[in-house]
Amino acid sequence: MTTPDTATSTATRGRHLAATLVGTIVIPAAILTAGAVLALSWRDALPDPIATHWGTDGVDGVGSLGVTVGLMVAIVTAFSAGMAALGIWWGRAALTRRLAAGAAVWFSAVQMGVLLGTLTGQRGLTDPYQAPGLGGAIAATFAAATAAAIVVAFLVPGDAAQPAAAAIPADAPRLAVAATERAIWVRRTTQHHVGSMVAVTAALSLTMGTLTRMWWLSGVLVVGLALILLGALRWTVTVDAAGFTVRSALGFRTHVPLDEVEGAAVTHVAPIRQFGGWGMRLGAQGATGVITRKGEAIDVTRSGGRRTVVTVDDAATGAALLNTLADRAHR
Amino acid sequence: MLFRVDMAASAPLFAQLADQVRSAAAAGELAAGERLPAARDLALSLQINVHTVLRAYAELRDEGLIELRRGRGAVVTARAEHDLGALHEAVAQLAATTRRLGVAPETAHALLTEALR
Repeated sequence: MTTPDTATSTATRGRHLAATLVGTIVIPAAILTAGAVLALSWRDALPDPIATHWGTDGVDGVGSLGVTVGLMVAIVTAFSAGMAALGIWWGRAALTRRLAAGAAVWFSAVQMGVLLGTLTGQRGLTDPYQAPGLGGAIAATFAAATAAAIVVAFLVPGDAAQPAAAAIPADAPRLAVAATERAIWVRRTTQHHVGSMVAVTAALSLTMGTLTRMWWLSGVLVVGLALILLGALRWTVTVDAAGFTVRSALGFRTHVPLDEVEGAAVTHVAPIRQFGGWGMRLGAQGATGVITRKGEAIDVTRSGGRRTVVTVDDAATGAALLNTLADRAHR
Repeated sequence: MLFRVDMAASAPLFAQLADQVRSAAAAGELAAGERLPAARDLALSLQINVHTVLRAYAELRDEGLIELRRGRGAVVTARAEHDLGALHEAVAQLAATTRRLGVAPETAHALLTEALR
């Protein structure tokens, strides 16, 4: 028998699945197909082999058009499939589905933009070593791909309201707040290791690009760099009558309404092991996190099996106030 | 940091807020350069008038605890960080003595207020 509750959540899940498939498969596949078809249609006008890698003195690597396009299709398809799997299996929170769709669209747009950018300057040439540089095309590609990814991420529908099914556990920490009192806890947290994060990613992508002579591979590594930079540097964590809110100066925001809080606790975060790095992250089992450093963090258990972890000092006070205010909201 | 206003308390709301910043600074919970929440955000969240928060901030600025800068909001000054260890000790002693003698907290408050006048 289907209760109204499960019927609603099945419909919600169906909508989420559809949005995830459109964002991670349909749109990236459309970009991929359009890019590949356009690239192959230029075949007669392109040199054979084509220029595929640029060094400081211009073109320093060539390859066949078919292999280049084929590799590109394979790598974009694999990435899209990975993001689709992420959104489907771990996409309980809207943030997860948004990151999956945004990353898939961004990646396919960057790969296709770079492919077409490298090819368009070679049309009409017979010697691939005469191909012009790529600076402008790459900059335009990154800007367009980032804009497209942000639009798609915003279009992914958010989570439907889903009030907590259970009360806050009796043994969860609380703060003594009188019924006549209103309280807010605010704390700022700043990204650590920014310099080393950028340096390591840049060095890795440079090394791999130089060693393998495959420019698209360094492009893949730039994905990592962009994801790090996307997670802004400063965050404000707030616990108040509105619930639990984490906001970056750039406007990235994670919010858990009070009535969806099932409990808050203090936890200890190991960034690399639990979240694969720093910034706005996805962790195991679809947990979402804002991770600026290792150490103490507020761990919010949210309705629908969702979890949000945010590293912040004095997490004990924040968690205790959140439990206390959530008690009021559940009443 | 934690801000709380008790709508039923006799102390005015702005004084309650200012007191909390003072004790947080004295307890070393606020470092120099740290920013307090924007007055508008704080007022919105606590559902109080923004002028109440601004009045608390103005008082703290007059005491040299914070600086109010256009566009940057309320920033904790270096002066707020002064080592108040001796004062903490004295306050702890005062609290212990009050408890030991079974004196009502209000009486102790009144005596302290009188002594600081």
